[in-house]
Amino acid sequence: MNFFSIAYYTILRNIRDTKSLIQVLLLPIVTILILGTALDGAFAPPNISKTPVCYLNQDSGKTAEQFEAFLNDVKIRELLKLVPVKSYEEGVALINDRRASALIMIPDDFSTGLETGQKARIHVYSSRYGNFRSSIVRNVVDSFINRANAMEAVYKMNLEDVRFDSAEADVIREMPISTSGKIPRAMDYYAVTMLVMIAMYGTLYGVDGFAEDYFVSVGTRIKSSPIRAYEHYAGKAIGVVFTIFSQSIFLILFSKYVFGANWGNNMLTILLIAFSLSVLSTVFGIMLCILTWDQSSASAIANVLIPVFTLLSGGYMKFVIDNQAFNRLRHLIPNYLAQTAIFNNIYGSRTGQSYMIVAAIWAMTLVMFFIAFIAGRRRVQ
Amino acid sequence: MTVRITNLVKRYNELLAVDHLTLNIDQGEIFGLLGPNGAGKTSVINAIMGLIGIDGGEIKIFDKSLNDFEREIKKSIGIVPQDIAVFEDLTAYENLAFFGKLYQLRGDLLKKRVEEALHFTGLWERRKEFPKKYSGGMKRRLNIACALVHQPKLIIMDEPTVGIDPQSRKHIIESVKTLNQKGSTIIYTSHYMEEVEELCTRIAIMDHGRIIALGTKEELTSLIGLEEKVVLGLASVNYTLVDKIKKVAGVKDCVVTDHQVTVISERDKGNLGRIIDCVSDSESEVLSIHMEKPTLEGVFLTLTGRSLRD
Ligand SMILES: Nc1ncnc2c1ncn2[C@@H]1O[C@H](COP(=O)(O)OP(=O)(O)OP(=O)(O)O)[C@@H](O)[C@H]1O
Ligand SMILES: [Mg+2]
Repeated sequence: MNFFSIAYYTILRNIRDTKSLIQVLLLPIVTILILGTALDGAFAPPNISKTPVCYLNQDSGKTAEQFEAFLNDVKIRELLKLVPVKSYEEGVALINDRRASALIMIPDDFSTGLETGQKARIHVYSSRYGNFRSSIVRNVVDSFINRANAMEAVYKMNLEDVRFDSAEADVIREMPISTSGKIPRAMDYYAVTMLVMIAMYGTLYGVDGFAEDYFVSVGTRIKSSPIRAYEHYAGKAIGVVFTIFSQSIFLILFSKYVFGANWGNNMLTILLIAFSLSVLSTVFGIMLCILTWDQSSASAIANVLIPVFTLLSGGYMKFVIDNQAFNRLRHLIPNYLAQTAIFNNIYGSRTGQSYMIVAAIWAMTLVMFFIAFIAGRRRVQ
Repeated sequence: MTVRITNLVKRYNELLAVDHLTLNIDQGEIFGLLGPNGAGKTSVINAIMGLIGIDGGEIKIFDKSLNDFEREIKKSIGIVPQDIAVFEDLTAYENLAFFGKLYQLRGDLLKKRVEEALHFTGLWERRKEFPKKYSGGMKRRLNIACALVHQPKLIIMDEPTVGIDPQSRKHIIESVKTLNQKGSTIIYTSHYMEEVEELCTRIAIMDHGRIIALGTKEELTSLIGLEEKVVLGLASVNYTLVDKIKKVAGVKDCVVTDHQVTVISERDKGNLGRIIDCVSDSESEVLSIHMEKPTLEGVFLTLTGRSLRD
């Protein structure tokens, strides 16, 4: 297995390159430490202004009453500003005017449906903009439904009626947006963006690994040996991916155990995302190298692009821009995609979306691979 | 026949780097490729190694076509590239082990071969060091060692002694002889004619992508053996003087370099006095007179009108 030897020596040499290694690992760790502590205030819930929500109750049953009481709870009122409406159309109009982020609607058969064990639904209509705000609403409603289901179960078992008020504290704690709950602290936020950043800086390993074989004399010697080209490149790529991936794992473990950053419960998916990103940056490096056909240009481009990517994806400083074109364009930045996937995985429940994004990262990788492949064929005389 | 090159053509865009070159090298030879910078030596070697695409011609090595048996052929060739080709961040030992593995050497055999190559190039004592710490000469020796681990039948050395001290140079020349005695065929390129003269069984002189002369050292020098070469150091040189000298009976050529005029003429013509007359006629002054025996340098000068080294 020749490519195994090539991979082994590639890794050995990257590990020996302590200068790059320290730079690659120290930079994110220091950034997490500095930004993570300095900007902590920016991430605390008090900064979230109240989310305006329309409310339409068409049901007069007991559960609907309880829900209304729940919404009027002090803690909920800190988060939501309720605007009662008289019809669905009125609510939609308010959303379209951006005066409300969502419409909560309780249909008239809600209470009876719940009591007879049939399907009971509270509808949440949300605006296409401001996903974050509508997710607050959705989470509030979810937590009520969870309560209601639990109560229903208790009721059916003929146990004592559990009064909703007494469970108040629990409800709040369970809500995804309470302080100790799921909103990322600055530390958690930067742990993720810095992980994504160093994985993307892996591009430089891709550039160097490839340039060595094309522009430097050792490449001559390797190509003069009987090794097959694909073995050579596969070995090289595996070595580079492994290097970047190990650095990512190191950063995850370090931030988790030393800084106590929150990486959620689904570590396997996070590793999958980090791995996919390592492959992407390796191929990105190779592509830059082939397109520029010059090691220092390729490195220079990577050294400019990656901080810009990180910046635009909010890697150094979280920001929201209300511009559709920009927000769409952001979805083409690997950093942004990977960050979204990881945040989703830690803070949201939509793991399905994480996998979609992983698929998108691989699709991008494939596109770059083909660009590199085609450009490479034209380069070789 | 170890190497058989027929009508090789290599272009880099407009530049014709190798111009319909035909060359045969026998088993057991130390074959010298001599030529000035840009003559096309490295291009020929890269073509033999299959490292560059060629624009015409055919290459056969060990009587097999390079096109069809590239991998098999490469197993038996060791190359010493002109630019030092070792990993700076692997020790000498690791470098050799790495390249050995590319030739399928494993385990004890790999260890034995690496050890032999390091002893052979005198680097065993410093095998654990990184090449960054090596002197220029030691790096060149490591560059050679990396080509020897797999004990190739054909060793190609592209200017293996560029820019090193006389001691390392001597060491390298001796190792080339030893390798040849052990049975390897060697292709040796250089623009140091002394090395080529000392080592090579046959020599090809290259210029502008073509072979302009080929033979043993004796054969080549006899090409100009019937001629005399006089080098005159002058206070000043002008072109009417060159024209005048060229008209002197027996003079075959006259070449100017700086303040020197090299005159090549038929042997025993007794025309030196007339040449010096020309100098004083043109109001210049002879500062030195030097007569040379035929050398490869002279062969090159005669054939191309230029000096081998710039
Ligand atoms: N990759 C390349 N692209 C364009 N031109 C090239 C390339 N490689 C070599 N050349 C040109 O081809 C000619 C022959 O070069 P080559 O390297 O074969 O000469 P050489 O005899 O090895 O010279 P030197 O003694 O300097 O090593 C030179 O004019 C050189 O500039
Ligand atoms: Mg050369």
